[in-house]
Amino acid sequence: MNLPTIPVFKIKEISEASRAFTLVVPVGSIIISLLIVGFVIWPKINEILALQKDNEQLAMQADSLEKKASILAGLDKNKLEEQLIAAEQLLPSDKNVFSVLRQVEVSASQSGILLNKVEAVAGTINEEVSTLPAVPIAPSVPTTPTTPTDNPVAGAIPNQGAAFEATSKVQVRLSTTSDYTSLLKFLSNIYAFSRVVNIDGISLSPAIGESLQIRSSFSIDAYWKSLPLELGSIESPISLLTDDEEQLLVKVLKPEAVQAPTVPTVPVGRNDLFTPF
Amino acid sequence: MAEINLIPQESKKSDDFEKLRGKIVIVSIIVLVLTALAAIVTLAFFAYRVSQREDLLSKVQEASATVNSYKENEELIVVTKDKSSISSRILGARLDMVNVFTTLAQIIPKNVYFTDFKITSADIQISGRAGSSAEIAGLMSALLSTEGARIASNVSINSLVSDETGAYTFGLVAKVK
Repeated sequence: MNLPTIPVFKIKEISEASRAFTLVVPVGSIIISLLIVGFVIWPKINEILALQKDNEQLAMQADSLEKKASILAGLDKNKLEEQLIAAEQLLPSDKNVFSVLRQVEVSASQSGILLNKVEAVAGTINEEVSTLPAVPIAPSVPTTPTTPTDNPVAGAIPNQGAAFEATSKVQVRLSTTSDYTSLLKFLSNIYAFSRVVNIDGISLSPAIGESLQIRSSFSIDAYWKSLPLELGSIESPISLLTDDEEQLLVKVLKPEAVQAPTVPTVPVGRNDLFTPF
Repeated sequence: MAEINLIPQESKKSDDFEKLRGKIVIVSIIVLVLTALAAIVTLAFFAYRVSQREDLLSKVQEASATVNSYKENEELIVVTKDKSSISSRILGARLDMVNVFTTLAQIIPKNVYFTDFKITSADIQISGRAGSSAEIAGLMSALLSTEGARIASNVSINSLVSDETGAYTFGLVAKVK
């Protein structure tokens, strides 16, 4: 008998194929799940982590801005204006060279010292002073206020450089003749200026042929600081005045403080530009 | 006695396959459920973070607007603080020359006087005359005393010469405190 064998194998293959086909759904669902994890869930987790970081920064930003707003709200504008006037007396926004010279001349006449020579390193007089622009509304990168480059003080005084770095000065060099007591009085008067000044490089020697008279030479550094060009970032924290700084400002506004004198006006107009006065 | 496998080979294969299929189905269901849960939780958390961000952004904008409304106060305090802190630092660091002279006048011996005096913020150079060596010793101990140490340190005598009267001419340098 000749039995047909091929159809039996075909039936067997079909049965195995149908059995394998039953695995397509579960295996396919596992693959799809993995694809969802890989292409949807994992990127979203990364986005969530980035958002969390952003939110932390935003929370800090909001917190600092709210604190700043509450500090600013608590400030008394009138008091601040008074303090600014005092601060301008301490550290004017321009050089005020002639005010310093006038103050030196007045102090010298009051102390009874003879000014042999007054030498001022004035530099540019009509330098432009910028005013404060509007505060940026959007948070921005903090900007460093421009430091005036004219006659910078940094390094001028070796062991006190850090205190003098952020500002500029007008230097007045003096040569004087006086007795010792008058010189001390003059130096005390200089220190009593409302403007911040420093006396350096004092050299004293007896005046030849003049008993009890001393020849001295020294320099007076009068400091100034231009107004900042920008306020910086809106997020930059507000530093309030310390007690010492407030006391300093109060001291400047007291009547006994020696205020910067106004330079007197002089008559103008000449017929001949070269005739000596 | 050896066991006799009475189950046909094909039937056994079929049973094994069914068992494997069952396991795969269970695993796939678990994976699907976990994936669905993870997706829901992730999306919910993402939505929460997004809404939190929006809240924070509006909070920042509100606070910025408030800060901007106090712009004048900010300008005043920034400039005043800048100037007063610099002034305070300069005044704190500056050397009070009057104090140096006053202290020296109080502590030096009576028979000592200066012929040349130079002082900078870094050092003091003094030349002078003293009545005797004892006066020089008195000057040195005065400069090394508590009062003297407040104005000078590292005192060094550069020259010390006497004449026929017994008076000494001296030159000294010291660092300013």
